[in-house]
Amino acid sequence: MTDMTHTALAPRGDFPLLAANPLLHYLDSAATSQKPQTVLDAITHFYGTANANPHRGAYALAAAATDAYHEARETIAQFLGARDSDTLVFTRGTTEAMNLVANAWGRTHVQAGDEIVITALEHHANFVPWQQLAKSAGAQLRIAELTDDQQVDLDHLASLLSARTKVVAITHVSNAVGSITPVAEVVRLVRAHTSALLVLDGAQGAPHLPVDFDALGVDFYAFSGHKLLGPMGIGGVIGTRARWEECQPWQFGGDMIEWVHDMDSTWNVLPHRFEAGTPNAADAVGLAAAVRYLRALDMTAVRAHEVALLEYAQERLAGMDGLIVYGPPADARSGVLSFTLEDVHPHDLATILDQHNVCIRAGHHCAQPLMRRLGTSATARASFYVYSDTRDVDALVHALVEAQRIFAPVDA
Amino acid sequence: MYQEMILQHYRAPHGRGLPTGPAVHEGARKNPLCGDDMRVGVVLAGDTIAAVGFEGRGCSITMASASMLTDAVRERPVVEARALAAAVEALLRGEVVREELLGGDLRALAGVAAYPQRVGCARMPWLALLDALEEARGTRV
Repeated sequence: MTDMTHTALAPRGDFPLLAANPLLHYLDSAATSQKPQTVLDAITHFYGTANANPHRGAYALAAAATDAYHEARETIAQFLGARDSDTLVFTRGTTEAMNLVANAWGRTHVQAGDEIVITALEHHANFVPWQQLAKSAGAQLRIAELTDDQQVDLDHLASLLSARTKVVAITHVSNAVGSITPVAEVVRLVRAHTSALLVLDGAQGAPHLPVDFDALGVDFYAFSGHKLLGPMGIGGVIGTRARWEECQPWQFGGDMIEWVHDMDSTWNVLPHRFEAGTPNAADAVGLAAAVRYLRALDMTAVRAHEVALLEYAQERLAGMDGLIVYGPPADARSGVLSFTLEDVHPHDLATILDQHNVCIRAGHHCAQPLMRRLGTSATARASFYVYSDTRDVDALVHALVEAQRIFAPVDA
Repeated sequence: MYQEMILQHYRAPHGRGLPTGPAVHEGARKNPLCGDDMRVGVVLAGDTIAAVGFEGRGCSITMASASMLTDAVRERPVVEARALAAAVEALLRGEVVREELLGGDLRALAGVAAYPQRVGCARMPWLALLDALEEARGTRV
């Protein structure tokens, strides 16, 4: 057995929901993470001390709101390795970020006969926007297939790349099975064969791996705050300045304009050009508190903690009859345990586990194209984060054995 | 929720396989939450369900509900099958349903009402049945 104490990387006491429910085993962090008190405090503090509409109003309070929003942008951009914080545009999350890129860049650059390359791993949020863009532009959607352990087949990906490729959109980490994309290798392939826009879906990357945008070599990196200890409804997309310059505004209204004439308008500068309307400043401030919390833990330690839990889980589950675990080995997989158990449907598993205070996700994980390729309609998924510990894994294993006992076939 | 009755139907479902022939009317439903699907086929003789069967994949609740459905509506008048579907719906909403309206194995589904996320699983075959009966009504001369 792996030598490991029960200790989580982050104390449960920092997370009010977990502190209030000591018996709860929350293993659904890939869906959304729990929030530390510091994040809740930061949001309350903003509304209690600095609440006014940022970028509007010539009074001191409005300036305080603007400063808080601006500082949040700098903190988050720095955490993700973007030195130029104005290249971080806030959105509601990864889904809106992908829709932004597909519209703001895609609509003016993708034409009939062009090709858009995605992979069979993609979450619907990085699948459907490109599928629909291809449909409306008359472009061709190409899907890179997977290896037997659900990693992107780089040979197949390379075979799809050509001068016709206008966009390559690929996940950093698979939400459904945890596969980590070898980004450097993908960047090398894409740059060698195309001049395509390269977009990384970081919804599951930013929370679990160190991210250095300036070193990654991609054009856009999208992420969601609520999966990395932040509040729901805030996230963003970082882009290179050159690629942002190629984008057209996609939502129109306050804040994003420079001047509005009767018959035409001009646009504000980055990042405001792509943030129409009153910004979600309070949640941006909350997200900044979340990344400060993660920075203190250190993302390398976060990754190591998840690998250790994954290996512990694999050891505890080894030899369980009828268990199929999807995804690559732990060194190429995020803290995600996606599996099926013979004779027990994932929904039944989730209900029985719930009766044992173990929260997991059961379903298609918004990745139906992947489920089709796995030949199943659904899997069960346990996912770990900084507050997870080996007791959570033990509870999971115990409940799985119980599920197996309930559903065991009866000898005729 | 996981009563022995439900597990028995799940392990060895009755009525698996759609009836064949040109007179089959079919209803199909999907559960977008889990990607499961369910098809129910009926053959009518006058106003009576002469044959019924299902095809699909699902959890124990879906499969048991489908299995019990085929037992319950086979050789029953269409009007009674519709009443039964309404009674099952009431049971799944947690309402008290009298024994004479809904008896036998189907009462085991009452436990599902306590799990709102799973009610859709039990309901799916019955919605497919109603679709099939609706289709039959539409094509009748």
